[in-house]
Amino acid sequence: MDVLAWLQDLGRDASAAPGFQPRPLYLVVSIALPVALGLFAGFTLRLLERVLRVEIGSRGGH
Amino acid sequence: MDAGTFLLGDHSFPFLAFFGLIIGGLGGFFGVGGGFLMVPMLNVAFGVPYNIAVGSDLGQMCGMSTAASVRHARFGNIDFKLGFLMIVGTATGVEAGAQILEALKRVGTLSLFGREIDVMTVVMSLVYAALLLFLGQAMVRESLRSMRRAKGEVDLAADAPAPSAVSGLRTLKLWPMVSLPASGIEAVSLWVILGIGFSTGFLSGMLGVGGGFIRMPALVYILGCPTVVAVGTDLFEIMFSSGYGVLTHSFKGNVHLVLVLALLVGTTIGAQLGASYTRRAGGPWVRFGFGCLAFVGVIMVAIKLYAKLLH
Repeated sequence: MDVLAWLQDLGRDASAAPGFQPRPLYLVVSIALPVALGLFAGFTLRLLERVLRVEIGSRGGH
Repeated sequence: MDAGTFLLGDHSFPFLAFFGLIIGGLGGFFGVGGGFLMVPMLNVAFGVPYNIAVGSDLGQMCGMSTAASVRHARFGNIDFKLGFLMIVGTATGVEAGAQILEALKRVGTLSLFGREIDVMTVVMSLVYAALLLFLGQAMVRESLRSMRRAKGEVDLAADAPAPSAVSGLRTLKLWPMVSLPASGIEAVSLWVILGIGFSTGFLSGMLGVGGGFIRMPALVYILGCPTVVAVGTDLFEIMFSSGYGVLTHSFKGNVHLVLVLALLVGTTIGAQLGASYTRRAGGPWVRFGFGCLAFVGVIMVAIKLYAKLLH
C-alpha cells in the first residue's frame, strides 16, 4: 500500500485548475508507469507462451 | 477538482481494479480496446471528471498496447515504417484533441433547463452518446447481415462491398509517395498516411480512445494492408498515440496515477480472460452483443446527464 500512498501523494499537486505546473517526477512517472507495466506484462506473456507452448488470449485487441 | 484527491482513498483501488477487469474482459471478449466504454463509465460509475478519465484511460491504454505490441512484434505483425510515418499525424491529432478538451474545461458552466452544468460534461456526454450509437448500430447491422449470410438468406455477390471514394485514396498521386514493403504496398501518398494518423489521434486526445475502430479498417480498406499487419501496426500506433496523450495530459494535470495503476492491473487480467472466452462464442453473436453493449452505454450516459440536470 506504500506504493499507492506514494502515487496518491505524487498526484496530489495535479489539478484541473488553470495555471497548473506539474512536478518533473509526476511527468516521468505518468509515462514510465504504464510503459514499464506494459513491457513487464508483454514479456511475461511471451515467456509463458514459450515455456508452456500455448497461445494466451490471441484474439484480444489490446 | 484536484486529481490527487477526488477518489476516496486507497480502499477505492480494489473497486477500480475490478472495474478495469470487467471493461478489460469485455474488451478482450469483443476484440476491442474498450476505451470508448471506459471513459464514460468512469464518469457514470465513479464520478471521475471527463478530463481526468481521459488522461488516466490513456495511461491504461499505453500499458496495454505496449504489452500487445511486444507480443505482435514476435509474430512480425508490425509494419514499423508505416507506424513511424503515421506517428507524425497521430501526435498532431492527439495534441489538437487534448487542446479542445482543455478549451471545453475552461469554458465553465452553462444554464440548461434552469440548472448550471459544466460545458465539458454536456459536450463530452453528447459526443460519447453519438460515438456509441454509431458503433452500436454498425456492429448490430453487420452481425445481423453475417447471420443472414450464414443462413443463405443474403446473396453474397450483392452483399459484397462496392468500391468507394475511400478506397480510391490509395491511388492518390500526391507527392511525396512512399513504399511500404512490409505491407506489400508499392506506393502511397504520405498525406494519406498522415491523414489517417491525425483523425485517429484527434479522437485519442479528445475522447481517450485508442481509435482502432477507425484506424484498423482505414489501414485495410484505404492503404490495403493485410489484416494481421493492420492489427499489429494499429496496436503499435496506439502505444505511441496513448503515450503522447499521457504526456500532454499529464502536463495539464489530467493523469491520476492510482487510477492508471488500478485500471492497468484489472484490464491486463480481464483482457486475457475475455479473449479466451471469445473462442467459445460465435463471431456474429459476439459482435451483436458488442453492439447491444454500446446501446447500454448510451442509456447510462443519458441517465447520468439527466441526473446532473436534476441536481
